[in-house]
Amino acid sequence: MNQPATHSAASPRSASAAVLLRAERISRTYNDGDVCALRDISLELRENEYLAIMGPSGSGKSTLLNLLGALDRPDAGEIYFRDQPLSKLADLDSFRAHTIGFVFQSFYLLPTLTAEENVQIPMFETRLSASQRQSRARELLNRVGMSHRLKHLPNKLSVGERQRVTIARALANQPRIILADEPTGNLDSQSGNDVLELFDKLQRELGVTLVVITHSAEVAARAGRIVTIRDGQLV
Amino acid sequence: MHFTSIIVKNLRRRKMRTALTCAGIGLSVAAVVVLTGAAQTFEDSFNDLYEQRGADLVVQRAGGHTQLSSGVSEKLGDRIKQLPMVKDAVGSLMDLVSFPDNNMFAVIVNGWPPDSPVLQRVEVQLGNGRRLQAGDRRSVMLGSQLAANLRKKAGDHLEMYSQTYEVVGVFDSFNRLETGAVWMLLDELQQTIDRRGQVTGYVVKLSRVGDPDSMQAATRQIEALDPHIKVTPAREFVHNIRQINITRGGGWVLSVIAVVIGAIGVLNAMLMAVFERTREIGALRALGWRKSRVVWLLVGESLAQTVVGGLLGIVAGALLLKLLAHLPTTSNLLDGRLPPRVVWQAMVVALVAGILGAIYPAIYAVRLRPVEALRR
Repeated sequence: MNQPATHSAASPRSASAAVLLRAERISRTYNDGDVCALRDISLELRENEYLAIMGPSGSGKSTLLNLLGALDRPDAGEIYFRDQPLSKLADLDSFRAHTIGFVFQSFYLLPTLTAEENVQIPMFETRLSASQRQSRARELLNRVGMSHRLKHLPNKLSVGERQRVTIARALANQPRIILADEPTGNLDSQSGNDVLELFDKLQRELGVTLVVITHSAEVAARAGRIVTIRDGQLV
Repeated sequence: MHFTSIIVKNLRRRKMRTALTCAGIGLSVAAVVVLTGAAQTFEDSFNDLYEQRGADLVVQRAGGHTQLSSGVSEKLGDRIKQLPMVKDAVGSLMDLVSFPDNNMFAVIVNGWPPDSPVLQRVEVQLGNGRRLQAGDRRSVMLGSQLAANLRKKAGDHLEMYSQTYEVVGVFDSFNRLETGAVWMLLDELQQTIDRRGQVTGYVVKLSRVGDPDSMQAATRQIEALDPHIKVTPAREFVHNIRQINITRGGGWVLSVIAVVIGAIGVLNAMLMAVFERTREIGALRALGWRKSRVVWLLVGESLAQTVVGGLLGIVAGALLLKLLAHLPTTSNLLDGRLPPRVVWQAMVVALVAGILGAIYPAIYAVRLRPVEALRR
């Protein structure tokens, strides 16, 4: 069997950094194998790296993101976090809570909770007290420029502001990796640009590893490394 | 923000649905409170009556279908009193009558011998007649509650057993079963209901109070007097009164029905909530919430509704019991109290309904993989 290409070329800044997340020949099928969403993909993600995964709709980008974020398990292959196979982890919930920060295209903010309450949601899986959670949420919202909207419900925020709250929420538990699925997909160009600048800033200041899924070349261009996926395979 | 804040905010999101779910639980719980409360109050009143009188044992005919149908010889009383461990034995004949014009049914009629200590010690209302005396004919005394319901006072007349009786006095008592009763002389009641020479039973007071050994010994001695009688400790006797048992049984059946109805209501509300919030639940799971935390969120929402509904039901049930205590039909049996045990039973009904109603929605929610839930 031919060995698939391992996409490990990193940006200059992270070239020497340790491998954080490694997908090794992972595949994912649906409908009892009728639909092959991902086929034999290998990919390395290093500390402090900014990676863009590009591809057309239905190419398997989101499936790959779900697998990297431990939201789903591959049918074949293995994903390692710092050389530890995720399939051997007993508690993937805890892994997601403490290691991964998600930024969704559709935000998934709880409509009954204010901005600062939404940011506290992941913190329930930590030992922080209620006042510590609130204080950290405020600090994070301040960091993303939303300190003036703490008490606003999501429906009182613009889409750009909602995405900022989502980013603050993703940072709640100081994750090592942020996975963003089409983070600018629902935003106008100005808001989209603001969010991308925020990503640049956070990645620079906090040193997190950032993976952005996009079909926009403009968005991908901000990343240190770009991989392209088509028909479930990296090209 | 506390975890409970999320629960409260989720419930406030669909105010009408939450209110209807609480109302459904509340109605079920109110029904349980009224029926079991009535049975418990009735039993408590009997116990109270016997305790205040210092009754240790109750003597009745063995194998009687109901306590009212039982009959023992009125001569047995003197033989019981002669036993060394017995301090006193008071016999009476008991019957039930109705006053349909006043919407009063199952009113207790007691027939007492003229020298009965119960009759001798009863407190006649000031200026409202006298006690029954030997030789009285077509005469009754009325308990104060019954007299008020019938709007009768001393000197008035009362139609009963197709005959006219004079109310010779109105008496007060510590117990609703007595204030709601008609008293007449034993021989007259025996003649009227054709139970000559019989009493319904005897209430026996022992010389040594609260001693189980002397209670057992006295039981053996009394039962040796007549092979057809049965001696029962007073509390056990009350617990086994058929009418109370039927009401209590009805209360339990209703409790089970209430749990099922309540659980279905909660199940419906929670399933709708889970279906509507599938993506949110997926997001919570994606953000690292453990399955158990999602389960607690849903069970918490369910329990919050059932606790509120349960409390409302208890308040409504308590008010209904108060109302029943003022209605002529039931005021001779109920005093409007809400026994604490009934409150606990009602809350258990509500909580069990809440937990049962949340199980399936919670299982459904946590079985969804986060990635599937987010796609819906």
